[in-house]
Amino acid sequence: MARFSVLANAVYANGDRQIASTAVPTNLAFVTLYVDVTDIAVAGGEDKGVRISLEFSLDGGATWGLPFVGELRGGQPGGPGGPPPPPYISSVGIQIPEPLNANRRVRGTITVFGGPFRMSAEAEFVTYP
Amino acid sequence: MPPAWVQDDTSFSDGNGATIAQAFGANVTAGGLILTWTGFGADNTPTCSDNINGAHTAYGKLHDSVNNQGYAAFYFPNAGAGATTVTVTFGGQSPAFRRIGIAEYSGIATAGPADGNTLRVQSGTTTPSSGAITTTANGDLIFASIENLDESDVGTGTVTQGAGYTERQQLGTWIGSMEDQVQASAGSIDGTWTLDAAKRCICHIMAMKAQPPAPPGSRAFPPRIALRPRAFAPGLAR
Repeated sequence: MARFSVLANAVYANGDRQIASTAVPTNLAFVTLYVDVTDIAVAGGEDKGVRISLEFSLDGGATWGLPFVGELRGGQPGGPGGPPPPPYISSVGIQIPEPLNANRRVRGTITVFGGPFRMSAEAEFVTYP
Repeated sequence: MPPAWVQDDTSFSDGNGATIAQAFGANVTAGGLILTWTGFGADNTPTCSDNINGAHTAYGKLHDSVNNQGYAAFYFPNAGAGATTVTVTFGGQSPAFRRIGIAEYSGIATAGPADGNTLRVQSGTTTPSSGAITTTANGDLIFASIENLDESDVGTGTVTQGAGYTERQQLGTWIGSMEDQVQASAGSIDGTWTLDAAKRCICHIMAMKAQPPAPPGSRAFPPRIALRPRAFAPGLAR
């Protein structure tokens, strides 16, 4: 399934943005949220980033499970292989159980800290494993 | 029986490869929990399996594009017994800077053990942390792992476990580390470490529920049988 936009490319101030409850297509069992952090991939960007909370429902949204939280940051590009080239698109993801369950939904929150900065976010469901 | 560490192992390679595998040093015991974490120099969604149990459940992944290093964790409860090798496969890619840490625990719920999970990038601090989770059950196993995104080769510097944790094994010299504790009462808990110098890291914490106590009357050997003396007392034998 192709990536789809969750947050449009724009400058975002600190605070929460909701990811609306979305149906998970059957047979797909892993969701990844990609965030373009190029604007904060600079020295001093270590204190800027986004916190992503995802939770799942297996019963059409009647009940929701424990949230999974992933946090991404900016900063000076580096790493064991040397600084990678832009763009800087970081991601978090987690497996969604019961791939044949047609009543699965995912929702979440993207929290910006250290803002304002420019960013965008996309989501993708894939088969797994 | 509360959760208890059984064994762990780690390995790493800075060269490119489509997988990374690690065998346990001793046979895994039936009913145990296998936890795995992996690092990799790519934007990838790896899978994990072993030769006894098949596919493991993915319990979070993160790719830090700023250092082009990823992290993912997996678990498999109620494992089958035997000589076990865990393999992480980087589907369609052969990343460099591959790391793997595996651990076996006993006393974990054999179905639905997951009880909280968070991971995050930390940078510019000597006291990185995973971010807190709030567990729902008393007596959880708390497993926390940290991957150093600045290191290659054998690594340098030091990492020290957080208060209340027991460090199990470092990967190289502070390329990665894993620690654990049993949380007596449900509530908020964070994976923490102390470093000799600030590094960019990915920090992860996950909670696993303890095996519920056996219900009354379900003992495998009823006392009246276990204590019966007649078969071993010649004077009373028929």
